[in-house]
Amino acid sequence: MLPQRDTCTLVDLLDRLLEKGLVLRADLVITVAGVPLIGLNLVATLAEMETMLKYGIFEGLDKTTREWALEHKQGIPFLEGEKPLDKAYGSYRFDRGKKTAWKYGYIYVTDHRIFAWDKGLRCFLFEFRPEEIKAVKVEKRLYEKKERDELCFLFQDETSLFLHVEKIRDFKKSIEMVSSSSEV
Amino acid sequence: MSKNNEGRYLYSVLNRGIDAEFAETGVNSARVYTVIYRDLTAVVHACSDSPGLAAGEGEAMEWILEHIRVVDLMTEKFGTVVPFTFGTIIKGDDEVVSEWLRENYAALKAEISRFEGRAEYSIQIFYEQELLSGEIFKMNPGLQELKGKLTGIPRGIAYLFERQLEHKIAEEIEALISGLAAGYEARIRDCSDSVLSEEKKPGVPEEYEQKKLFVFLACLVQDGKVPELGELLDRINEREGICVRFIGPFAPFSFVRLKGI
Repeated sequence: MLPQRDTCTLVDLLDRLLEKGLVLRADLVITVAGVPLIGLNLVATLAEMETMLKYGIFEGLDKTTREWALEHKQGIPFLEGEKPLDKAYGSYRFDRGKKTAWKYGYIYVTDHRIFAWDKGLRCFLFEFRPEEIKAVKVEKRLYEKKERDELCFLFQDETSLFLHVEKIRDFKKSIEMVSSSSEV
Repeated sequence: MSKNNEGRYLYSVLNRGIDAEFAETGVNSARVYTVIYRDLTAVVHACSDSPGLAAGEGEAMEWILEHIRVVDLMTEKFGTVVPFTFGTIIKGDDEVVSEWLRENYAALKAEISRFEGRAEYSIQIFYEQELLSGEIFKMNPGLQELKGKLTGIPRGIAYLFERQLEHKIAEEIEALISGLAAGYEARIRDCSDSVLSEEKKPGVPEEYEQKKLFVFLACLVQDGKVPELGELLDRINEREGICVRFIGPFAPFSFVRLKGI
């Protein structure tokens, strides 16, 4: 048996990153209103993170910080005038005669196109325009022996792309909005 | 930006002096670079001293993935690292970071040498209640006899016997898995430098959700011993009703002993 990293869940990572590792002494570390930095050191699980979201702990964005972040942010390469409509973290797999493995990334839907962008490598994982889509539908498919909803794209060249994101039907609606506006 | 309102977000300490700036970006797309003191290097990005909170769950997750990506990348490029917990920002500029490395040089060197040529792995072992119940029932004549009594008796009494049967099976499962857990843990320890029992319930992929976790360990393992550990886990995994999840490698987050330096 080989150790796997690609089946790691976010909670596997959170438990390590938020509660473990090297910790500096308090007088050296920046805190925001008593919360160690990003408010996340206190978070142990996704459920707790949701609670924090509910109580707005992540929302106290300081204006200067925001400006600073914007100034330094190397953004997603949107085209001029391109409007982002939806974004989701999820997995995708191509079927171009040969099936590829499931890969993960942030998938963007804009008024011009649908793409996945790797921020670290600064490259597109995939990119296509609504005109290239022949059909898109939500299908029940097997993943790890269990049935789940996947968003299936069939392209004009008969290749396919399968997407799995959390709010799959909302995501599909965003894609349909782009597709219908491109038909007009 | 003046020196007064600067901070440095910290990712990891490397056991080498590496003067570098990386093409890969860090948390919130920041530029990642190094600060050196002798043969120790801190991997950092520059930020303001009033860092913001993530704008939402999505951004928070993105930052977490970016942090781990930088830590992994440094491990890949430069070998052993001491990883910082997510969201650590030191007040001040590169000089402050270098000074901190100088002050804690001996402690950091000692810590990093414990991790040389090793990585952290997570091992989760699950059992399937139904399969183990069936196995226990087959092996235990007393339980079969109790089940035999259920036919042809009034419903109320049958109900009591059923509860008794369930209770006995649960007790037998408990005894079986405690024995298995102790045995598995001892064999895993033999392949590892250090083993910690994890207390929290892990987040598992869907396929494990219906299974019950009974061994959950973080292990610090020498690179050369990983195949041996893998073979051991294969053998454990082969047992009917038992299923192993082996994930990693991670930077040795769970084994960092330095706190508050």
